[in-house]
Amino acid sequence: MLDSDALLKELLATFEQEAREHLGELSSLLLALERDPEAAERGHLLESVFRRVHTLKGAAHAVNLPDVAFACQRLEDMLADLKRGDLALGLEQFDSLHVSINDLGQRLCFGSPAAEPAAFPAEAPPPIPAPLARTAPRETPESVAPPARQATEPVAVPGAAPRPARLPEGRAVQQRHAVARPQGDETVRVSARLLEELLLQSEELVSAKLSASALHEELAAAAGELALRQGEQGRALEVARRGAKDATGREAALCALLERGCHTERQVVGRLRLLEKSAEKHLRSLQSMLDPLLEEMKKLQLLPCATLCDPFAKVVRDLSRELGKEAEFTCLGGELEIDRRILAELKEPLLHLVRNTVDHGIEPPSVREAAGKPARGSIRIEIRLQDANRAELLLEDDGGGIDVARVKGAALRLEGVSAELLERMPDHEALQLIFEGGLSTKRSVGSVSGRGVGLAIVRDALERLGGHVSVSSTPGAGTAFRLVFPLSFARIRGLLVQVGGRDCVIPATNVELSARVAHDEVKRLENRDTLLVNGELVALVSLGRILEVKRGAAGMERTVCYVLLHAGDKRIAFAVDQVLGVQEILVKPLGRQLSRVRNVAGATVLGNGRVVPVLNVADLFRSALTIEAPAVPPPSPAVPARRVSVLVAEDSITSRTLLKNILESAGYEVRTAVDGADALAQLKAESCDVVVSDIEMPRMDGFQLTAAIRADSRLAALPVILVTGLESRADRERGIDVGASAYLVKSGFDQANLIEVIQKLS
Amino acid sequence: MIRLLVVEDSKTVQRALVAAFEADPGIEVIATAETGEEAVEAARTLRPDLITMDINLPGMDGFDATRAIMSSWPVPIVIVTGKMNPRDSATLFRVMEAGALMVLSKPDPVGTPGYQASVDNLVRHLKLMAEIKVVRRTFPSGKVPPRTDRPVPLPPVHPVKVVAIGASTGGPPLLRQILAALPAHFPAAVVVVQHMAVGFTENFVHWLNRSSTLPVALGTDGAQLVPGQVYVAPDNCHMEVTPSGRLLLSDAPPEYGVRPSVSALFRSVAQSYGRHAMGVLLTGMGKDGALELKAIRGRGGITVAQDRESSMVFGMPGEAIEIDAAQHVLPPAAIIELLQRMTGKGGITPAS
Repeated sequence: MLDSDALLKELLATFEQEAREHLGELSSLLLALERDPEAAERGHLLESVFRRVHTLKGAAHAVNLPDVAFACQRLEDMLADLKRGDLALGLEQFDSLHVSINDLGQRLCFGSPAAEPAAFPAEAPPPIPAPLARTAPRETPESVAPPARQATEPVAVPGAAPRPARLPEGRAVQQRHAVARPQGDETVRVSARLLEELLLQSEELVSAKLSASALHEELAAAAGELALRQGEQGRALEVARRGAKDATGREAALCALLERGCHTERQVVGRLRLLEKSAEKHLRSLQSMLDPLLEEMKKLQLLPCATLCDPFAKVVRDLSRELGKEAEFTCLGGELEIDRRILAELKEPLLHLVRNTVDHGIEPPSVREAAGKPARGSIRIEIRLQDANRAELLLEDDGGGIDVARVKGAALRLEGVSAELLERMPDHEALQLIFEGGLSTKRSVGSVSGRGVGLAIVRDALERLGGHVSVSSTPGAGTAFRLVFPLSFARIRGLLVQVGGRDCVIPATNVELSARVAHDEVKRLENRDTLLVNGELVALVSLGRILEVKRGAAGMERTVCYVLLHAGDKRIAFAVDQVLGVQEILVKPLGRQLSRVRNVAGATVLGNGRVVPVLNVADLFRSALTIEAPAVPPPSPAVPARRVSVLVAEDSITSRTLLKNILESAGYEVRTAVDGADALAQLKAESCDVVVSDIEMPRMDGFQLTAAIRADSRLAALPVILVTGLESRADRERGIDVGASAYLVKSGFDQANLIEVIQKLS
Repeated sequence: MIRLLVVEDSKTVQRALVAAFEADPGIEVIATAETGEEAVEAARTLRPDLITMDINLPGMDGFDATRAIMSSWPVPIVIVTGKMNPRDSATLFRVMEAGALMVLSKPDPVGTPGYQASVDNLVRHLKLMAEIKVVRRTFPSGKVPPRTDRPVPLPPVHPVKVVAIGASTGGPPLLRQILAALPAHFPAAVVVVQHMAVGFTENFVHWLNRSSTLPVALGTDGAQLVPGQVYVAPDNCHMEVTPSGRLLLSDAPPEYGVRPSVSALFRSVAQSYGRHAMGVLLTGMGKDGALELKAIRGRGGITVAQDRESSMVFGMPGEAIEIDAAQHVLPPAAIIELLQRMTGKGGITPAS
């Protein structure tokens, strides 16, 4: 007996994939049909459409989705009529077919149909009389004798007449490039999930490479360190040998031990060197195995851009019909192959941009004609390589362009930017504001756009990828969006830097150079720090400040270490603690729990196993521009950070030294006095923050010291802690009487206690 | 162990079928194919024992694939398809002319109550079909080969009022040929039982109508038999004739494991029409109708059985011959001629 639940689940998964493929193909076929090919070609295309719908129907039946199967059946019937020529193929028919396909797509997404199958004809937008008249009698698909009806129905098809004149216009033509799959090669179909897993696993191998590299380095370092001691070793050995000759008994034994020790060390160094060599070999072989593998795996993930852009033809067609506009979509450069995952990330943003263009960009035909433009708008996507690592996608339209004044107005309303800044902003810069979240120049919020969210998402998506988006526009003539993005994901080269004691990685593509300059090269200009780099003035910003990382001891450095980054066409120098080097890293997303973290794009695992954030350079730039950066503080000459100073009065050397050590290691500055009088004398000369004093001291004891301190007007408020072995109530009371701030007994004494008290008092 | 090749272009349906078939220990699915070309290639290289074929295939369709296979590496081929629009019947039965043995319907969807039963039914038929020895077909023109010169013997003269034809595996193409060759004013009513997978009889009738000179319809209960009309037994009902010349549909239990059965028809024809009846038993598996053909003979009617050489499966006619139920054992051409020479006045016009 089959496990029918498991089987059904498996079948549904297969069905979903298959259905998706069929629907995609069906859209393309319909679009091809709309281009009005030769009769033979048309027959062939119709046959293909029919066959696919039929197959889909069978598949739907197999997974027990009768509603979907029924919808397919109706579509099939209509197609059968079209095939036989009983129904003419006009615009309404195409619309109806497209609607049916969309409807099927909907049903498949939601599992259960969105509407009753019987209402299917009614779902077609603006009433399509012809198909309606046809589908009505088909309520009973089992009807045996329709031949009689067919003869009359063609007459009732009004849509057929206007067809020839209109069709040449009302179509979305798509220039197709042959999808670049080499014809001769055999292809296999693999589940995308499996491919994804394999790729992830192979990318983990990069860590293996990195650890091998780290291991090799450590071995080399260890061997190197030991090698440095060669000289010492040699001398030790000499002494040992000579000593062995003259020495007797224990000394001789010591010498012998020393000699043996040296020998062993020599051997160990030798072994380490060997290990280092084999680690190097290991690393090299790993590299030679992994690098080609990873390259090939990357290629597995490559898909031609056409897979991204082809569906847009239908989107443009459907949307323009819906909005009463006319638009033509073309795509150039679809053969370019890009990492599938990047294409997946680009899909939503591009879709939004395209929809936006049809909605905002392309004007209604009447407006266009009045402006002397052809009634049909053109939307064009062009993709090309920018360099070995990046590609550029241009989305151009010949619509009305973007009204900069409106953008500025909307930005003002948003209160994100000040009015004067807006005034001064050049137009091309102001245009980029459309990517700000919340900004919309549309007066009304429509279902397609107007909420002011979409373009911000576009920008976010591009930046997440490590690219960027910009827009340019000529009012009345058109708009162009420029998207730049890397060709493939994940493995990039990164610059490892240290900031505020923390490591982080900056993607190498954004790094122009790194350098160290003397502090006085930093000039302050217009309230910003600037540097002269290669003859150009760039702003200098503290990376630590932007990342809100607490800086260590400030201003101790005499030099400033910085990295010059670029994003888009802007350049800014970021000051860091130090630059640690370039590494090949695998960028991993932060995970669903951290969908958006300012300044951080992802994270990576270094060769030594540490997890380190990868910075989002675009965010850094934005943060840098908004912070009114104060001057990078000049090194304060020789004034160390003020520490709390303590005067210890104790006559016993041991105790005094002990106390001093304890307090100094706690970070205090300690002065000592040998008795009360000495302490008082020192205090009169130079005050301190806290006094810790023993009681039993010659010349002036602790109580007297305390009294004297309290008597002195300058020192009266000084906290005094009495530490002593005297543990009697009377003594404690005396301590309080003289005005001690705290009384600690040595036997109950531990350093934490003392320090706590000091902290409390200072 | 039956080595099975499954040809189906929908991945989903393919998976469902394979799962259903593999559950049976007697069947091993050795390969699957998604296009006609792949099917032909797989048949050539793997030489399966049986092929299930979908008609609707991309590229080379089921018909061409069947032809190609049957003309080079003949293998029992069974069409497994979903319900088809009656208007597309031509496609369906064309494949049978190309050499497919029979049409079966796809199993019910997984998870529905009828699933297991439909799978069992399908598997049972497949096992039967796998037994059939098929021969290489040549397809010069598909026309009926010219008749031999042997004159057809003339039986005693009684007006034939009802011609009852029974067929199973391999019947449809032959029936089409016969009906296409009958004269327009055929003096008798023709009643037909063709073993057919449930759901396809309508397609079958539709298809026959396209070439038949006489109108073909599904038999309905109580219908009056009209000469020159062809009545085909509908799904799942025995079709019988009453002495008053009416059709009677019954849901009595299956005979010989089938319903409609040839036996029920022939029996009623023997009883109701006796010597005014003619019984023709064509190719098919099993024994359905053999005894009852003898009954017709016993009552004085003319009985014909298809000969061995031309029968796709010699089961039913073979049994009939064995028990001496058939007066005449004829090839299709001769059967047609016999029918053509029937007149209303009785008997059959002499051969010229």
